[in-house]
Amino acid sequence: MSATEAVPRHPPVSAAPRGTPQSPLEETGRGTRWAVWVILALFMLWTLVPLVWMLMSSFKNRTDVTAATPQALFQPTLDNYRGLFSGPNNLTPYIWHSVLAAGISAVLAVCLGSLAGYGLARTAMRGKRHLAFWIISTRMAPIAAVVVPLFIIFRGLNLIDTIPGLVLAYLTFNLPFAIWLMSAFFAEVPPSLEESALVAGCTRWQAFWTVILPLTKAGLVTTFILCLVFAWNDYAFAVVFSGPNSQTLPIAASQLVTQTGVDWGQLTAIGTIVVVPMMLAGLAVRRWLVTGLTLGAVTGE
Amino acid sequence: MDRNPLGPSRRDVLRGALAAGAAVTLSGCGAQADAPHVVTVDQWRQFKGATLNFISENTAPTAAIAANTRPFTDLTGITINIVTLELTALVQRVALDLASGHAQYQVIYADPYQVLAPYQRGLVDLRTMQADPNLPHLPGGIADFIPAQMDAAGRFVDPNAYYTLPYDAPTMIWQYRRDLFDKYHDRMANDLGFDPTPSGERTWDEYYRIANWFNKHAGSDVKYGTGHQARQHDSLMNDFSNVLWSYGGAYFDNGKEVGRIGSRDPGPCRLDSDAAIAGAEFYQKLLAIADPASTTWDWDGVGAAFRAGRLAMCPNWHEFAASNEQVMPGKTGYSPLPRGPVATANMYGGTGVGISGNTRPHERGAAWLFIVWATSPQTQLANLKSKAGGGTPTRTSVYELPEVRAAEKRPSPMPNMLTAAAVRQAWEPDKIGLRPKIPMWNECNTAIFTQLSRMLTGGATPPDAMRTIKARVDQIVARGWVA
Repeated sequence: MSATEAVPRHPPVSAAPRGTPQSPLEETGRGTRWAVWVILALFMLWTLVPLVWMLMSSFKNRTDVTAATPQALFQPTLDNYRGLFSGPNNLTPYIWHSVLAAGISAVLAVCLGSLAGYGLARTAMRGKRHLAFWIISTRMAPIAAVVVPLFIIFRGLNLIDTIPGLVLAYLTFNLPFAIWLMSAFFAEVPPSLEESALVAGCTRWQAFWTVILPLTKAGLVTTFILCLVFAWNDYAFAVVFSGPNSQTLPIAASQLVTQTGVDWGQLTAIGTIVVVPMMLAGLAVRRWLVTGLTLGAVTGE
Repeated sequence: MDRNPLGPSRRDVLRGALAAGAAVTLSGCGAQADAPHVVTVDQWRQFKGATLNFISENTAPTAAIAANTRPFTDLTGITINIVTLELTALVQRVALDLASGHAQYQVIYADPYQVLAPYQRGLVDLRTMQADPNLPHLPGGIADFIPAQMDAAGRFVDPNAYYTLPYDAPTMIWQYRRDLFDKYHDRMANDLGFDPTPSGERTWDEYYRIANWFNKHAGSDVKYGTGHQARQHDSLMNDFSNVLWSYGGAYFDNGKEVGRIGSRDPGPCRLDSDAAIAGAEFYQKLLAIADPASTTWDWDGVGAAFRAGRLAMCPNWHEFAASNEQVMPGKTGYSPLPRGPVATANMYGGTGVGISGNTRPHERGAAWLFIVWATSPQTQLANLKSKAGGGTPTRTSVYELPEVRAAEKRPSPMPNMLTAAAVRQAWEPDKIGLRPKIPMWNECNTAIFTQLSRMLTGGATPPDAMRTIKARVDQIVARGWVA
């Protein structure tokens, strides 16, 4: 008997009758619902206004962007973006360094984090909880506490001002996070599934690869996106470990804070360039991201 | 499962991994190569093929040099990579680089207070380079640098040694709306009873009265008479210090020398003196009639507000002149800051370029070529003309060039030169404002602007704020400094 045959057939899903509450919120009174909508609207404004403002400012000229009375209507210009890709501080290498360092470190964090997280979820070793806490506690250490020893190690290994150095630096905070998150996802998967796979003749690796991993797709995507965002936005490690050959986008942004002022137009243009790819990545995988961030609670996975 | 007796055991695999790791580590720790050196009669070409890294704050001269490094490469055959960072990040990076024993950055933008004073032992005494017969000498020698700047930016403790060459020279001056002062001159003079035209002969009290006059009578032109960089930030210490010194206050005994040459042990803080408290009281009074947004502005904020037409005048760094002229061509005037009851002071914020002590001999020589070239009269003139930079020269000879002299008047192709008359006075030894050049200044500075901010927001009276700063600074200084 195959696994599919064992699952009882459900009646097809249809829309609930009109007026039937679909959520606890709908069961509440009109006043409560209005209050919730207002709070949500305020939260939306709180999060979106700065982003929209940044986007608009990136198209303003030098006078408009620092005008005493902020203007919503203005003559748009691409000068700020042009300025970023011409002249001595061309942004292209910074983007390339960011893509490489953040991308590779996120991929490695997910790969290694999955393996370690699976082992952590399934092991019955003594002190498992302590080990799990120790792993995540390394993520809690303030960056200032680890920067100096890491710098000395990296200097000894000639990893300063290299992309592999940055990848390794990002892994120091992404890997514990990935292990912790993935172990939580693996713990949600019933062990009976892999036991069935083992009984059916799979090796432990095959059970992991063909049965367990596909079931934690939401976790993999969530972990990858979060690791990517952490590394993409990192400034503290990049400022210490990067150099002329490996500077990333957040460093480029900081360079616009000059002795004689801040170039707000170009700063908001860089901000837009930093934010947009991450927003698009988040939107592209939002289905798995929402599921993953709630550890499957939304869809019941 | 049976283990293959002929195959490697788990212990063997671990041993192998450890050995491989150690080998990689040791190979990585190998000595770094020096820069190439060729024997040639042309001293400028002897390090052809070398690559230098220069770490700098994003300043006008660095922007100008970064926009066109070709002249240096053509002259020397040396490639120069320029990394610009915000000052705090730069200090952190330089500290790590100096402590590591290797010079990733051979050329260092050495802020006198945050790099030179705390890490002077990590910088090369440039006298050794100037004395080397195999290296080109500084054109005009160090005597061509403006003396007060040479001392403030280049020296530390030893009055003969110099560790950096003055590279930029932002200085706080009085920036005002010349069009409005012209428009209201007679009315103001009549109402106030003195000639309100800004100059170094005006007093801070007169500055206050002028600002108040604008508040009351010129609302159709500007919102406020004055604005200040009074955010809880380094800028607040700068803005306050001008008033403090002009009232006769000082951070330490022998404050002028501690500012000019520097000290590792400046003695007790003197901000609890009557003069310092009087200065703080005036500063609080001045800020009470200033644009209320002043407590949220650093130099960039007050500069933007001034350019936006919100203020009639403000103290700010003179290199903002280029932005002022861009937005309000012909409308701005510049003068030294007002004097107080005791003295006059214009805060100096210049910096030098130095060479890392971790450099190897040829790297060091190549770095010397770069700093000689970067501070040479020709490069400073090119920076002045650069659209990417601007800045202001640090050499007397450059200010005497006919085309630079001509640029002091409108229409000026070098707008920062419109401030030349003001800064020339501001850099006189008795008028330049020099904060204490001590290794622990960064921490003291934080204590100072934090308490000043409390004072301005009503959290402390001026005497309380000054006494609290004194107590905190004394603690910091007593701890000493090891680097």
